[in-house]
Amino acid sequence: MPAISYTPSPTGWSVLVHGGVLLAIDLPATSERTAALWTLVLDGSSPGVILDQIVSSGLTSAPDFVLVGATQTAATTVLVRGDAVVTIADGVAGRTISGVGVSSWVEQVVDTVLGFDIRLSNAANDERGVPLLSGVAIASGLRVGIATASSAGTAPLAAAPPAAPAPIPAPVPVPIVAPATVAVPEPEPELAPEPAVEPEPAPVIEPEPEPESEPEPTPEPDPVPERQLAPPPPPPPPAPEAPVAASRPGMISAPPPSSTVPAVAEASGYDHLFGATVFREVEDAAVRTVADAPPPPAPASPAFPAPAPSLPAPDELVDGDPDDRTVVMADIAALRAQRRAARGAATPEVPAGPSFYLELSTGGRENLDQTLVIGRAPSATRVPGGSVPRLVSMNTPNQDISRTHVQISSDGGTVVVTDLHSSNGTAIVLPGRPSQKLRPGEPAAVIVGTIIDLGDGATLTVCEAS
Amino acid sequence: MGAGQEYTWTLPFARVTFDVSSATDTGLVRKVNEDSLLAVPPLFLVADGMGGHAAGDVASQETARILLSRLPEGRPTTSAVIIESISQANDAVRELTGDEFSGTTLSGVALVQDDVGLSLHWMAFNVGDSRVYSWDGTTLVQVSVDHSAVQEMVDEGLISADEAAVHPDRNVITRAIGIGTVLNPDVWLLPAGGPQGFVICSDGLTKELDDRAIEEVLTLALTDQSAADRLVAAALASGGSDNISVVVLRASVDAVAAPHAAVDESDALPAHLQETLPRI
Repeated sequence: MPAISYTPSPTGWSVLVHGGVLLAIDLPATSERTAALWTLVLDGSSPGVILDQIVSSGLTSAPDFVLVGATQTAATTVLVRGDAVVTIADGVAGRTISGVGVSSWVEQVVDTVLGFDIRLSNAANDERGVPLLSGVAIASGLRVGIATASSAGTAPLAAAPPAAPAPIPAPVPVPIVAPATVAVPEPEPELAPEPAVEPEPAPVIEPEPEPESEPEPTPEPDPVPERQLAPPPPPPPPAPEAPVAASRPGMISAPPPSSTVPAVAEASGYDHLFGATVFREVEDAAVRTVADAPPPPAPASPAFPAPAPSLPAPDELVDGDPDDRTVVMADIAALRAQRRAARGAATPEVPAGPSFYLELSTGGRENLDQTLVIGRAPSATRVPGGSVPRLVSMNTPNQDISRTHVQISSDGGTVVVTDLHSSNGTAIVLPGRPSQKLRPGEPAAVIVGTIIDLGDGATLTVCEAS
Repeated sequence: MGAGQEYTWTLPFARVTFDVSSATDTGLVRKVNEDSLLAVPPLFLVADGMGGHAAGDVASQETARILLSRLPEGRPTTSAVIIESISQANDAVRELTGDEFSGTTLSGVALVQDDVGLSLHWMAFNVGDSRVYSWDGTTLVQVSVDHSAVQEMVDEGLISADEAAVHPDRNVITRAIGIGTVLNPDVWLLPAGGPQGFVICSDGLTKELDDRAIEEVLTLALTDQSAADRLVAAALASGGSDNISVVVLRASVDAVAAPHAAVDESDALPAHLQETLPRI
């Protein structure tokens, strides 16, 4: 078995590792049952034999566990009972196995697995972890073959030293990538970031023309072929004054062609031809029709026409920044907060809504703590930075679901499903109701217990966390 | 591969190569280069400062510096880190420039992983009117959508894309770093796998060259210049009215198979791509 590291936790599960077998089980490490299992693991017993021992006292009293071992066909078998989540690294997309909602256990055979991330509790696994070759540990999680375990702190992933792969006692019977491939450091010099990268010091106030964070020489006045080697031009003279901004609050524009700013090159009179970039709030731009747009007084002003008349009067909301839409939004939020406060502290805080998760037919669960986009190889297109969805890949036998198939979000206690114009569509089955096909792009609210069918055997079940 | 910088990462289950070239030029008209760029795997960006009085430089430099400072070394970052550092840059630029109105655009691409570290995506992000294009060796496709007045008008159906290129308000942008207290960049997440290319540029390039012209320059490698240098030279030749900054990235993310199934290097690219990929 490749490098294993575990996240120690006094309240964690017992983790038994020897030879090609890994067993994590929700039992005290000192219990007799654990001791019996350890004997089996030490003997090199097959997963089937170990499983027999785990369920020997009956299925209902069997503890939760994760068992990873080799099959006779040299593939890797993964068995999960209970809440543990096993994420498989089988290339660039991860998939998960979990026993949530299954009364016995989930078994999957994987043949190109490269590593596992095994979460025995809700906590994320420590990337560094503690290496484990063989023995019993108490852990809240494990990472197998994912070579981030390292005391090197910020060392690059690829440079992480192998967690002592050499002395592993038994030959690795599973086609997991040998430690040599997974963890061997590749001390390539290119890994070092480029020079000229100077993260810390000196806020740059002076008009130094060469951005300090730029990895290569910057601005050159003339495009001679060897300009990369030529020294940068001297910094331009600092601009003498700042009346432009003062005279046009809220607007970012090139300096006007005023004679008072002779030192600033952009004001050289070419701006009426090319125009400096200016900033204007989005509504101001959006509501204007072509017919309404006043012709630019091009030669006279490099900036756009004064926006004041077309603006609403949000000034009572704004402090000195009337053009700035986001300031307006922030102030509206502040006003609302004030109003809420004025209504009195008697208004109770809205209790946190229920938390939902999805059970995937391919194994595993996904919490709906953020919007999920699910498909064969999902992507996200033009989403706001404040609500980037989590992308979840599902592998189905015939690759019949769309790359980006369905979006599921939880908002204020409601789970909302939206088919993202998938080729074969999405159906929902509410408990006790016939299946119903979603209209593409139209959000549909669903209740707990609903099954979301993506086709090709891929389903998602909406569950509520207890 | 021209004058590009090459990097290779060996991640636990993927091998990533970056071949990147970058270039920036003040142009023929302006006297100050207010653009900044960054080409340090896994992050590639262009920031186009504005505001005059050299405040534009400060805004774009500070933004690039902050994003760089949050980068991990030798491995992918996460979308959360990028979003946070953009927000941090917004605060820093507001603070630095004080009452003087200045800001910067920001467009870029980062290789990001999920919180378990098992799936890789290209994250494109945008604020303002610099651009991210994808480039597959033959076709240039604009990924980002400008935050500009003319783009709003195009979206509303008021003008056509061609009219936008000559519209008097074409230099009005509607979102920028350093302008408001809250900033929401647009984000795209594209599955990372196989060879993929990106062109990131300030509007100094796209004002001079339309998409077809950029494609042509990328495809025709008649000199040893890097792709970024060729694009800057072409923009200068068409007028160079503004600062021009370009980052051209050609990357490949290949799943690392088990040792017995090691991928032959020559099979890494599909044949049709091997033939048509430009020398960048």
